[in-house]
Amino acid sequence: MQAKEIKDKLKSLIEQASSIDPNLARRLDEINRWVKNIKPGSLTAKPFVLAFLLEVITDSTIWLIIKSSPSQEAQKAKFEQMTPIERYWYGYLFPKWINANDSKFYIWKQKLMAGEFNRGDDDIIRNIAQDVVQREGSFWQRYIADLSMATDLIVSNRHNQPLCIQVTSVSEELNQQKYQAWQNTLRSWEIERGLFLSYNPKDANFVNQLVNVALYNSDYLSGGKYLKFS
Amino acid sequence: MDFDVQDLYSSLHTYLLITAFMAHNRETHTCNNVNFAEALATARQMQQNWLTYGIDFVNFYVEDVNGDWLETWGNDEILGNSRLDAIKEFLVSDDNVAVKVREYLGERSLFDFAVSLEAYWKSPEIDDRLAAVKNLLATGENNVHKDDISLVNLANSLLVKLADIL
Repeated sequence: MQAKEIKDKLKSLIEQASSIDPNLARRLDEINRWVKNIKPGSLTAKPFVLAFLLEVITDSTIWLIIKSSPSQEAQKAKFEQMTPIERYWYGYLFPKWINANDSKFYIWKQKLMAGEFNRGDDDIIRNIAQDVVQREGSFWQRYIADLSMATDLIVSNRHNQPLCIQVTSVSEELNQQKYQAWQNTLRSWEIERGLFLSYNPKDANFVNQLVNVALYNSDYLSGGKYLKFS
Repeated sequence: MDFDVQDLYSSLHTYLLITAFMAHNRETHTCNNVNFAEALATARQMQQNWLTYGIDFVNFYVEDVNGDWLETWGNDEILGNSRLDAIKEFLVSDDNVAVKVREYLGERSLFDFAVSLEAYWKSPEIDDRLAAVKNLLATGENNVHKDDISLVNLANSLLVKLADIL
């Protein structure tokens, strides 16, 4: 399709959502207006904006189907078709994003307007996700989670306990303040545990190490814990 | 970039399914389980494409990624209408008048209501606006008298709010 058709899809979803879930209609409407205000700085920003929009459209479509289920049972049956990690996203985090208050949304808006889409560590996140899959874990990657919930990746392992993960390179100087800000963000979204991973790009084996820590903690990290690993 | 043809077909297929769902949903507002399974498959496929190709996965779905779509995003007439934007934003807000309007409208489209409101707002006479808003609120409601006190009150409150924000 042509990129401008994305806007038509967004409009169509806003229209549908206005009767099914007005809060979602509001979010999508805001996104539409903010996209208008993004300053297209570098060429690489465009693919990221599109990736974000495709994701929002896909997730909103799923959400509206769920919300228009004829009964609670039908809704429940849909969640049962999902993997645990998908259930965590569509049943817990995505609705939180839809219904978030504006003060939380504001940070996200600023990032969007500033065109902070060039996720420099996208390939590293992807390498981690690939390794997770190879070891029969599962993952979920969402730009919404990245932009507003300080979460690069959600992973789960044998116990099917999704865990939100933030990945940062050592060069970014992880100070206590940064870790604290990450933790506060997770708490504000009522994400009950999380893993803050820092890596050294010079270490050839770092992806393997990060995945070990992520998979293990997905199974065993207790609720209320926000673990920093470096 | 070396795309797998099978992936490309698969992405195209899921894209068509999204489009089909949207068209279908507009008509009926009911969604069946087939739609759901297809939409979920779309989300999974999209993520799989990201996993394989990184950010380049968008090329599966969009032909002109680096075209001028971002620069021209706001050129659309309705979407570039800031008055309509303000009305829509108000209608979905937590303001108690907005909440009452939503309750009143029930299953009716808030978007359509906003578009009509915006059109009526261009009407020069205040009395006309009140009549127009009453009519608009009552449209499709079988048992509502146009001078029903709660309807008149709601229309009045809405006009006061709109006067504030527009």
